[in-house]
Amino acid sequence: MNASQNNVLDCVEVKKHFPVGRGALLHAVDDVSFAIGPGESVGLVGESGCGKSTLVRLITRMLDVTSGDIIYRGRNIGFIPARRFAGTQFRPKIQMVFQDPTDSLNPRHTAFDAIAEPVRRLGSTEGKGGAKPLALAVAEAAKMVGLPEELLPRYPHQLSGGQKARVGIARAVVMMPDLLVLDEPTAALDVSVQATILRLLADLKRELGMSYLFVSHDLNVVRMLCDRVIVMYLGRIVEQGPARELFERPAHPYTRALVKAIPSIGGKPGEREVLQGEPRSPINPDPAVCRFYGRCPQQRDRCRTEAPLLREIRAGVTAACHFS
Amino acid sequence: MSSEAAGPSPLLEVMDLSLEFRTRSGTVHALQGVNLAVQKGETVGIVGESGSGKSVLSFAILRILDAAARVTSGAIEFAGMDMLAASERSLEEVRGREISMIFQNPRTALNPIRRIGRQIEDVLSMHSSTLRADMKAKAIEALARVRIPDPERRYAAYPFELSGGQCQRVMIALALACNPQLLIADEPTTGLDVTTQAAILSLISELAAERKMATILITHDLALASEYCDRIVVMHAGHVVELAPTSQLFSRPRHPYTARLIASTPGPAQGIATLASIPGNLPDLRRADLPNCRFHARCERAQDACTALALPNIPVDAQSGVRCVNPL
Repeated sequence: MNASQNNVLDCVEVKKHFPVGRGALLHAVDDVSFAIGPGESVGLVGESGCGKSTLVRLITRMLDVTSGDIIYRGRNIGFIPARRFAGTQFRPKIQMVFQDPTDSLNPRHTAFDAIAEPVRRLGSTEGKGGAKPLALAVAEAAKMVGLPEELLPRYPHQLSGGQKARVGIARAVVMMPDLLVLDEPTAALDVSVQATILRLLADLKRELGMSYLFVSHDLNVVRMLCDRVIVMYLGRIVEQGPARELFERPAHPYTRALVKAIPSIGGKPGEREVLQGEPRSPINPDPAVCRFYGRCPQQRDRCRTEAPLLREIRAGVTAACHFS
Repeated sequence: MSSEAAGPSPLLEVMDLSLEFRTRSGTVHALQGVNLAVQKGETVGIVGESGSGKSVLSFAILRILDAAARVTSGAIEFAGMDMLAASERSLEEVRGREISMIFQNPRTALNPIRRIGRQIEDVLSMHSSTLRADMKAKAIEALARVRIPDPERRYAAYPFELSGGQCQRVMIALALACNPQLLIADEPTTGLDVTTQAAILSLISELAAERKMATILITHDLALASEYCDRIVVMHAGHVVELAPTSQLFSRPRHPYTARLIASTPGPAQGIATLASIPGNLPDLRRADLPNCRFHARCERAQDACTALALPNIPVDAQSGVRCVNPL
């Protein structure tokens, strides 16, 4: 994959290995390469423990890579130590919406303070006539996410789940980022408000021209919001392709199991092949064995002597399986 | 609702249950006039938004409510026993042995500093007449039944050494150790991966079928309820608003809230533009002047009669009913 000036983000062979004692290494993220184009929304899916969150923390530069490059608009930001990253010009450009707004908002900060905090810390975004006053920046962000201005003096416990989700989004978009990383933004919401928040995210992307990296394990939500989807399994990308194709014609057996596991109204659980067993250990994995070996319904002998590499299956679709 | 017509003497029957919590900031009217019947061996789903009273209802069935809770009317009968009048002693006989419960977050429900094998033995020694010498074998057998790989070794594991899915399997092993007649599963797969969710729910439904055990599945995921339940009860703000066999509920919802919930559940072919939302929020259940229909402020079919008339109990047929003045 070539790092291009046009992409908002390029990850090139990104690795993160955590030492877990006695020289053993936990391979949380292994050789992950992908790109996010301008205005594109990319979904990142996979089971808990597959390295999604580590990858997100690497991209948002809250964690340092073991090796590999993270390139933001053609400039390598992977080598900037995470502790120093907040002081750089790039911090406002890569922002994050955290999972549960009830947990991620400070209970002693009003909605106004929550949205104002990044502006106070990182400096106001440049408006047409120079820096905007703080109150104006906050009011604009609140307006963008559809949060009524009279709710700004309220504390999180005085807001509903949907309103808290809006505050969480507002404090990320107030910096006018290029890349917004969303970590399960609707997981804590009731279905009754899920649709409004999803539509808000789709509208914001169109209006502000941001790119999204959308982490979720709700595949139906990913399908609705994302152009392209990356599937991770045990630290590696196992499949990558356009969202629609991935759901209609999954190439990797893991993706297939993932898609089939989505419950649907009127569906029958009996028609579902349930993945048995537990994932392999991510600690010092055998480089010759496919990471999915042991749970894969299609595994053969070759899978434990030669780990499959990502290869193009069809135009735009790559998968790491010998038998796709 | 028309629970009397559902068959001869159900295993569990909740009749006209009303319940409130007295708090410093007012009385919360958490449940009002709730009816529910569960037959032997069937799986009943309870669905609704958070705050609709699903968990409170299940806590009331087991009588593990907070001290601030007061049952103001109604009755709960389990296998002929009056659960609300029963002594704490006889309740202990029922809990864990006849009715058991799986909680939402297995990691917080398990004791973090006790080996999982021991935790199963605790249940056995409390609720069964297993001899001390047989305990370990029984505990390992219970782990094997929920398909935990290598149960002899896992017997000595602590919860932090297991994955979330395996912890939930241990919870199921604990809940089923004494062959209960009724299992209450409160959001058993929330927070688990979809692949794990499928494995856990298939396990529960297989084990339930094997033992002819009745199951109450509490979930906010309608798609999940549609796949695993025989009948579904829809709750909103402390009311049961609709009750119907699963296929009927989805093919012909009668309550506007049910219809909205279905439309807001993402399906495989759904686009973001057609996904529905439900306007407004649950009413503040502390209000003294709660309207007769607690959904009317969010309902597009609301009429004057919705607040003027008492909430009707309209039987649709022997198996189903709806509580709405102006049903679909």
